[in-house]
Amino acid sequence: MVMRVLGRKAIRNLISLRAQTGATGILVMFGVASLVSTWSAYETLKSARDRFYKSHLLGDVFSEYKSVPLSLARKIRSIPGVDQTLFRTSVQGLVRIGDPAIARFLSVPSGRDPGVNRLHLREGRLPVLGSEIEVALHEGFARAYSLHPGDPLTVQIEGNQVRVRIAGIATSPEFVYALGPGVPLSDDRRFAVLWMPEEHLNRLARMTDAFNSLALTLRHPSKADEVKGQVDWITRNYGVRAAYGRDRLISARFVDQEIDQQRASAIITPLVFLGITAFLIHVIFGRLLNLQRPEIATLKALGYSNRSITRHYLGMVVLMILVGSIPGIGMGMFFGGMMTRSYSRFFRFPEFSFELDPRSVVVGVGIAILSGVLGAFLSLRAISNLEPSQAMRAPIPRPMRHIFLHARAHLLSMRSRMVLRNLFSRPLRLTLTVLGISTASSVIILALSWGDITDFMITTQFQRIQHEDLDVSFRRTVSNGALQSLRNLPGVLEVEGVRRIPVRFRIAGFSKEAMLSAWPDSLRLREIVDSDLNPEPLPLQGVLLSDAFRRKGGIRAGQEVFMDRVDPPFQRLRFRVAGFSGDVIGIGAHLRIPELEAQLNEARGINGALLKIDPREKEALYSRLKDYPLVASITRKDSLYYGFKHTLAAMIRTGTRLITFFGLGIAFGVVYNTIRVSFSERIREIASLRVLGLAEREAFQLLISEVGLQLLLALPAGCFLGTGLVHWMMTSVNTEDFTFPVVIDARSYLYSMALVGVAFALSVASMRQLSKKESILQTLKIRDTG
Amino acid sequence: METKNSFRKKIWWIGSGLLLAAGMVWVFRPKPIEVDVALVKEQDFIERIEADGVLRSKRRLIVPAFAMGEMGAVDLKVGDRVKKGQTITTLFWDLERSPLRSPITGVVSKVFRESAGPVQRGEAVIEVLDPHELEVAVEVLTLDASRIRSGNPAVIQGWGEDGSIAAHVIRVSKAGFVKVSALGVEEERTEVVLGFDSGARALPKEWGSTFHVDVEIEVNRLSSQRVIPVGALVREGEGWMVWQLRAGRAHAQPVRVRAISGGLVALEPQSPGQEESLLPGESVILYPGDLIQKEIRVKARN
Amino acid sequence: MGNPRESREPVFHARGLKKIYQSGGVEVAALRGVDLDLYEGEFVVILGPSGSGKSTLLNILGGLDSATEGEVFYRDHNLVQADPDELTRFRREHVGFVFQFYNLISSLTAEENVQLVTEIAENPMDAAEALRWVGMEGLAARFPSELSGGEQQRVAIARAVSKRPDILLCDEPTGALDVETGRKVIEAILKVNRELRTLSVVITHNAAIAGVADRVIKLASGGIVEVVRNPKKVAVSELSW
Repeated sequence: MVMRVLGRKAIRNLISLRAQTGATGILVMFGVASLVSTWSAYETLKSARDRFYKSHLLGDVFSEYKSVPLSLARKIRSIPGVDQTLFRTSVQGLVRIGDPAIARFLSVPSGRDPGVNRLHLREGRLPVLGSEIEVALHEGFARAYSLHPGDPLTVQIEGNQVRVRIAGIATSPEFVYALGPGVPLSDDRRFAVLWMPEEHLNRLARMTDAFNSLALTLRHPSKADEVKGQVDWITRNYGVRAAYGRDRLISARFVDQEIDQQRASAIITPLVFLGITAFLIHVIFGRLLNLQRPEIATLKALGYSNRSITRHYLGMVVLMILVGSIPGIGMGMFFGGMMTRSYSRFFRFPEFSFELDPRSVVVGVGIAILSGVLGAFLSLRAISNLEPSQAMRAPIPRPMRHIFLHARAHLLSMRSRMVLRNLFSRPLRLTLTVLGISTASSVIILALSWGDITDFMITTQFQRIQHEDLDVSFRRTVSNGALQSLRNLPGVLEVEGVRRIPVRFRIAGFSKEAMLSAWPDSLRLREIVDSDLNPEPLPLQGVLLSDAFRRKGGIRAGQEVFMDRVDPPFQRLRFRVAGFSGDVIGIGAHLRIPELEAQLNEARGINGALLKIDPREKEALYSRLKDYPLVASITRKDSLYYGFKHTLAAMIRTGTRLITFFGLGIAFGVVYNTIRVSFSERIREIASLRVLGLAEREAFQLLISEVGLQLLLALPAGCFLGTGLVHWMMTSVNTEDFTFPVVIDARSYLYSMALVGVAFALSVASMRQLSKKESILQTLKIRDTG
Repeated sequence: METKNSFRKKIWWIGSGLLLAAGMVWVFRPKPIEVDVALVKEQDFIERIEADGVLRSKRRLIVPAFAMGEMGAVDLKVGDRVKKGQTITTLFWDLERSPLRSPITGVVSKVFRESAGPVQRGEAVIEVLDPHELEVAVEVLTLDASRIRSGNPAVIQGWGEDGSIAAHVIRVSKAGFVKVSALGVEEERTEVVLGFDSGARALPKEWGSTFHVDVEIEVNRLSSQRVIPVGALVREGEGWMVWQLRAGRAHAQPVRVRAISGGLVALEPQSPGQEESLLPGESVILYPGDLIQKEIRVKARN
Repeated sequence: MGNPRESREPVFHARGLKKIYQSGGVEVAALRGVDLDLYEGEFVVILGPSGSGKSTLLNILGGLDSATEGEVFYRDHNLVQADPDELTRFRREHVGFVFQFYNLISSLTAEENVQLVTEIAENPMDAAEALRWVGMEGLAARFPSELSGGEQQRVAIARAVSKRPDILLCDEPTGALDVETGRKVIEAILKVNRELRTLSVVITHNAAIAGVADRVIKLASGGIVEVVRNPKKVAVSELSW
């Protein structure tokens, strides 16, 4: 009986507050949706990865060599802790489709289960021995060129053209993300993986009784290091310290990075939304309870206990939250599905469909309710303190303090005194409102900067730093005469040779693998810049380290650093740090070729070249270079640029627009609610002023001044908060491959302030309508209930 | 609360509004793109062919062991200088010990036997070459060789210390041969031999151990050409153009290429009827990229 | 004795005042044709139970509400034909209001609340002077939250009076106060009436207060029932309810 009447009251109250319930509901919806979608997408990705790796036996330890006799296989198999082993041939070649495309050929045992790195067939079957050479083709490449089982292909291995037939389309846990050599982005059109029966591949690659690639699974993952050491020992004559784990498998690394980023979003985004929600509920409920004081007092006088009244209002909060949560779950499922679908375009899992994680729903709604309760906490507590007799009495004037020295008060107009004292007499409310508006503003700044930073990085890398059209790397170090050959190819305008060595930096207690690049003195096709992007000449002696080393490792110029070569002969190199370079993509070190050669005990030479090409000859030249046996990879600046600009940057642009939209929504929600609350709290005073002879417009202006002042305070606060947010985001997001500079355009600040201003103007306009309708009589005579 | 000073207030509002608008215009105006520029120069344009060369001598002597026996260790390395009569190592033979001496003054070019041990009569121990008969041999692509004539000046670099040594082409072989290039493709190459201008006097003291040098052979010299860096060239249709920096803006300037060598481009002289001009001393934008459009505002970085 | 004031022109002249308003689809008649004349310097009490329309009458006189039918003249201003801006000006220049619930601005001190009015009035009293009038000079710098109900009401009176209005309209001024305080408030209103010769109209349902008035207008069910002249006025100190 009790609850039913109160329940009806609750629902009626909510309906009369519908504008604000709606605003809060939308925020809750976004908050819950963001949590549900990112959490579930994270779980979906993680479990797809774990399932695939488990069911298809992704190796735990890998290694590559030039050639190891098969007789060592037995020894490796009997290393304690090793479960299954796979000895195979791995060769790089070409597929004559497209540019042509660079291809990785892997041997598979025909007729036997490989035991490690099993293939998952999408179409067709596994290749078998027969009259034709059959292959299984990686799904990404097959989709890019609409290839199906039964289609023929022409491939090139070790300089020989071979015709093969596609037996099946497959994916492998080793190539969830198909990445070609030397390229930080996957390009399905330019990189293929093919699995061929070992009999054929070994013959084509001229590998007899030998293997050059190893993958094995462990019984106990904790034994990984021991096993790696044993493998290295057994193969010590054929390449030392070559064994590595999944962490260095490119595909696995990318998938893991993506999962980490997803997890980070799953924490940050909902936090922002639900924080704002808590604030809004706090404000709305404070107001509601204030207005309902006589009713609450009456209820108390009638005999309702504190608990039942509190429970009633708590129920209202929960109802408000649920109104937003339910659609939020649906929205979350929709967004999560969208995210999953966009992942499935370049992550090749066997099945990959969005799975709603029920925990995310429970946690999402739970946190939303919690934020609502927290927001209403103070107001709910005030209920208990309310005395029943207050129902009869006049509304108690708000406790007020002198803000400024009484003597100086007369310097300000009456209006200013009212506005300032009203604001500063409730510092908590003032802080929360300013915080709420600044949060909205800072979110917009973050979104805009994210786009600016990405554009800046891309422009810097491809317009400023990289001038070459092609970056060629060779299979091994060759003499400088290679440059002459390249220079004479038709269409080549400039050629510069480079020597790049992968090294492991051991600096200040952390170890990092990166590329040491040695450049000719006459370097023109690459610009080395410092961290402020000013041109930096190569030091005569010593190396330039990427600025990331200074920031993360605290290294100073003048220090000595050690680097270990990762390839044979595994020499330890020693250099003095001459300065720092502002690398955007990739991190490493730069020095002059003679500096490097002075420490190497090898013949001079280069293992890569940068070429600037006449655009009319570019395609012909690219195809031609692909055929050179000693060319390992060619990176085209135009496709890299295009890839970044149109895929990555486009994705980021959509994301930032979405976030800007959210920011605007938050701004509107906070500003509108603040005005609404102020209005109804001050309604009696405003009516009194109108009785005294103040025009309706002037009274309204008074109200707006109060909110306007808070907005003015929030604008610079928002800029500070936004700057801090951008800095924090960029430092926590720096991956191994990219360094994000912090670039905040002045325009971002202005846009965010303008957008908040728009939210303010819209709220004021809608309030104006409401204010005009207010009758003085209604206000002074009858209590406002909505 | 009367609006007594409404007029003053209006002025205030309008004033701030104008100030704000001015501020917005200033902040939002398109920023000039920062570019690197180079000056158009008027200078002699030299077309060069670069190649990898090897030092060798017409006079090369292998120093053999003169008897069968045991020899001591050889302390000499490739690149070391030896004097005529200098002891290379000691030979123990027939119950005697005799020093093995260098027959000429020169530079060690090969060491066949380093460590002590038994040795046969006539077995090669080291090779010494006579620096006075020194020459540099390069294998240039046959296509390039057709442009080289004997007497062409050349520059030898990368030998021992920094610095370049003047040389000239002695002869260009008539025969070509097919060789697998450094990058694994077959090429037709021709041998060109060069000699040093100042003979043995100009040779560096330290020879290094590889005897590989960088050679630049001059094949053509054009005087007083308009020269720009090759990084300024931009394709336009069938021809070329450059972006000229004029009064803070990028200005499209068609050009015709005469020759390209060593990172520089010699431009054909302008046709008489051409209105546009690219004069020595003016600036061109290097490696423009696709951000540079007609009349866009640019600012030189250097 | 005939009151010398009666022979003058009425300050308020109302004829046939009707006020009908809609409430949930039903028509409610708050005033059913009221004729009224109020003179300068009078102290009038309008007495009536709740629902009698007394508040409505006061609101119409004060320009806060408009009559459905009839005419109201303040001196020679026709209030019925006035638009909201004119009514606002009317209130500002000529009327002082005192309500049951004091309606002070909580963010201004007592003195500042009075100054609100003195700053826009043409011929105001000094704000401190007005507060002295109601015996509140010592509490001039206090905020309303620091004042008792009676003190707040007296500040409200000072505020109403400080513009030297022609009319003082009071709607249940003692309704929220105890007897002791109520007396003080009535005393303040009386003082204003006597010394400033302001026409003071007090609405109440409390018959005891009627004793201090010159005339008592009894209202019931939207119409005037009786107009009584008080022969002998009761002293404030003798009031009790």
